[in-house]
Amino acid sequence: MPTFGLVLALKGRSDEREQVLTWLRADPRVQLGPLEQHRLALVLDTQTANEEAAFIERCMLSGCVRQVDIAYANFEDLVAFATGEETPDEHPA
Amino acid sequence: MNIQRRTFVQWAAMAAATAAARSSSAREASSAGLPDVAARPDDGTRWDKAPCRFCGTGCHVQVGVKGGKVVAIAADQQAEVNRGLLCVKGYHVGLALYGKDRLRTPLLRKGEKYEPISWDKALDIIAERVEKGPKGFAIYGSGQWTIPEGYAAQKFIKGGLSCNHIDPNARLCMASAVTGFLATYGVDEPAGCYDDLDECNVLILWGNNPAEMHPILFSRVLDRRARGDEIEIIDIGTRRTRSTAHAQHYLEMRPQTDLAIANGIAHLLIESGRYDKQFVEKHCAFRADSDPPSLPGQAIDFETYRKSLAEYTPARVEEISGIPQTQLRMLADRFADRKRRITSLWCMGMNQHTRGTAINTLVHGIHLLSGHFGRPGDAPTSLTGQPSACGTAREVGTLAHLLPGGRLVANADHRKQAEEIWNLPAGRVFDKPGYHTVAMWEKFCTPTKSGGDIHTIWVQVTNPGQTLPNRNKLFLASRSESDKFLIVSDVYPTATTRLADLILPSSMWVEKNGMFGNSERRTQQWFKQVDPPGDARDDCWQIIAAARRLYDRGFEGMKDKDGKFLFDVRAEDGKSIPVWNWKSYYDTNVDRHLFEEYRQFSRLKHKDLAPYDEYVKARGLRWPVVQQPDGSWRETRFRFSEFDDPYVEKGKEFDFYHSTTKDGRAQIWFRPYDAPPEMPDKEFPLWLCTGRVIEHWHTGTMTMRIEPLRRAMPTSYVEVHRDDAKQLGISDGEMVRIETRRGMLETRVWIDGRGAPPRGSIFVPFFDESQLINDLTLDAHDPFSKQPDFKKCAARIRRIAPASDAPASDGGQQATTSQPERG
Ligand code: SF4
Repeated sequence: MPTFGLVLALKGRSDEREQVLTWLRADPRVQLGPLEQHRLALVLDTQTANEEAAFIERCMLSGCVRQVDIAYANFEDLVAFATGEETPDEHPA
Repeated sequence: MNIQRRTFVQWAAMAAATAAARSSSAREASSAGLPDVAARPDDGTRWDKAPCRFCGTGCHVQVGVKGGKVVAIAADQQAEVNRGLLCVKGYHVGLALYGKDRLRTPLLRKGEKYEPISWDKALDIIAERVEKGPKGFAIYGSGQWTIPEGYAAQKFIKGGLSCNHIDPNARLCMASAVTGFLATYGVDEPAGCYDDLDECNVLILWGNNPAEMHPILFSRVLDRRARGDEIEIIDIGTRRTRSTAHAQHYLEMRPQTDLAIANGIAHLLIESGRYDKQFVEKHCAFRADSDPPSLPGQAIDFETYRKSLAEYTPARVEEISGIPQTQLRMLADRFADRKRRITSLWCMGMNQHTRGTAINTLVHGIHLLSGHFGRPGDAPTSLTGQPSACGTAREVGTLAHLLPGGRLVANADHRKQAEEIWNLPAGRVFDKPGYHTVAMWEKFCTPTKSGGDIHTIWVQVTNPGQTLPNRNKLFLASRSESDKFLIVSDVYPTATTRLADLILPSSMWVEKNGMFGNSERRTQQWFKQVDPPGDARDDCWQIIAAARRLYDRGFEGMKDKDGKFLFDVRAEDGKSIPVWNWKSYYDTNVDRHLFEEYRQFSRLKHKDLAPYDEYVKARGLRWPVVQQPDGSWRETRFRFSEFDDPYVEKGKEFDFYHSTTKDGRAQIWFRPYDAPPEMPDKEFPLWLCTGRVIEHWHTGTMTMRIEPLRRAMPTSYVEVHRDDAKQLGISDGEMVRIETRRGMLETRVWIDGRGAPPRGSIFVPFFDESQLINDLTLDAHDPFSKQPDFKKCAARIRRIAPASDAPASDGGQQATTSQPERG
């Protein structure tokens, strides 16, 4: 399922930001990258289609994320699925 | 995907995100030597650049292809426009290719069914329709045509059929911006560029919602704010949007009253003596409507201008617009302050307006009057909704009155120049403009015996069955006329293909070579990267192949004056390449041939384009692109300003070198406020406004097939103010019937949703083909641009059933529209 490279623009005080970072560190789908000034790079590796929308929504509702931008999306599983080319092995439900 | 592959993909995702997080400005991105996703170790994925297929922002993506399919999208780190980022639509763009119902073979209507036919037969049918009467054959295209596609289509019509009946859907989205630029500067398209967004201190949104419609540009501004820059955002609109949430000031005006506000600002600047006298005296002239009205209008002097504005006192403007006097004075104060830099942005709010040309000229006028023009950050800038509305519709000249490069069909010299470049006999290009969009469809819907002289329309890359205003009158009526024939080239079934007589399957985006021109005069190029499905073929090939079929059948219009084919393409050794045969089409780069021919048109209006190969190297170049003494090609960021525009004479500081008064001056217009053609009344007491949402691109034909986007916004809705809903006794989620004098629609109510219309006003997006709001809209249009007003008409809402009776599942989302059956 799709893998995303995301950039979170953070806002708020550093203790508030720390809360978001703690939550993100605890999410097994997320790998945190460097924090460049207020911009945090991360990878979101989803298990089902559309998970990223809920993830982005949750980030925005945290109150410490001003914006989520997308730098990369790999959806080869979805393409294989859409074009009827995936095999059960390649495409676990 | 196996574990090793997934690990690799994660690595790639992190590299791209890290680079994007670091590149807070384009200059940093290009100079910091950051890793480019395309430079990763080889995992079998091939990467190449392309502009995003969707909006007019013109972001660049890197397209990852594996196994002949687009499998990944990365924002392009080298692209100045988007600096390594994409919006929610952009990163899904690759999936737009893989909807399950792609059109794969030509289809001909037989009664209520379609039967597959060969391309050969399809081309014969097109040729027969032309032969029936070339002057009744029209092409309706779009700002999603690539530049070479649009160029080929207009050459087919104007050079081949000598009839000029070609118009793009851009008529529905930015025609008023064109007439606004022409009336003010004598030449189309913005003087500034996106760099203004990096320099402005004040950003004024005139009926504009870039947070949803041009999200990457809005991010650019918000990012500056996050880095500590002070940027004031002023949102002038008729409805609160996502952009409003980031604005310091929200000025809620009554529909159409932006003209009164603009006049009120000008009045305050003049009466307080705070306009920029020096700039105005040196570089501007004054103008007002002539009798009868004309685009150039008539000259007036400063005193007449001043007196005309006198009635637009703050009190009067408040009365007309509802904007408090303090807010109007605040706006005037901003313009009076020369230390700040002010960028105005607009799009459909000002263009889809029966006074669209007028409000465009007024906003340019305030910038000129106050001297907020021509310095980085000081710019009046219109945005486009489509990826090549500028490049293809405006620059190539696919509008019914234009020839390439800003030429006019009504100008004998311009026609002669086109005939020379195309090697046509003198007089081949017809001297009357063709039908603009509304007129073209009106004629197509009118019985032939009653003067409906358009018998065939060939639609490419657009969906008029969903987007035309007053759809019953302008689209559906044609379907009961047996001698009217509708040809549609598209990639998916749409509201238009569903009623077509002949359907042609098209290649899309990176299934073909292409070039776009975005909102900031940036011309972009890409190569074909994957094959189209089935028998789908490039729109450009379709035009050339139809032209060749006519040529082979002896149609004189497809021959130049030496008898050669109009789209003759030669190899370097001088041999003709039969590009009309699909198997030979990619034996050469047809785009390069067409672009190099088109480029010859670009210098007259100083819209100079570089050779094709320069665009292959770049992430787009902003015209005029002028060759330097060392042989390199330099783009222009700020037109008419001496410091950047090579066509401004040294020492002049500013030069409007296409001035309508031929004296280097821009025109400051007076245009009075006029009431809209239809206003709420007792019977229809609400304003109806239509528009877009972030998840879907225009009619949703692509984005509704991208599962994550469809799920995020599955159906249309109507936004209603809480108090209006209470008064009408309707609740959130309830099905209601919206009615206007033209049609009705049933849909669900959304209270306190994404947008917040004020009392007395409702909003419905147009992306959902199961809920066709354009059955209800008005076809009244601007007198100069001919652009219809989709933003305001009178409507009413009625309850259908109590919320508890409505089905709760997805099935409850079914809605109905008023559609006559095809006769
Ligand atoms: S802002 Fe427009 S061009 Fe950029 S990624 Fe989004 S849809 Fe594409």
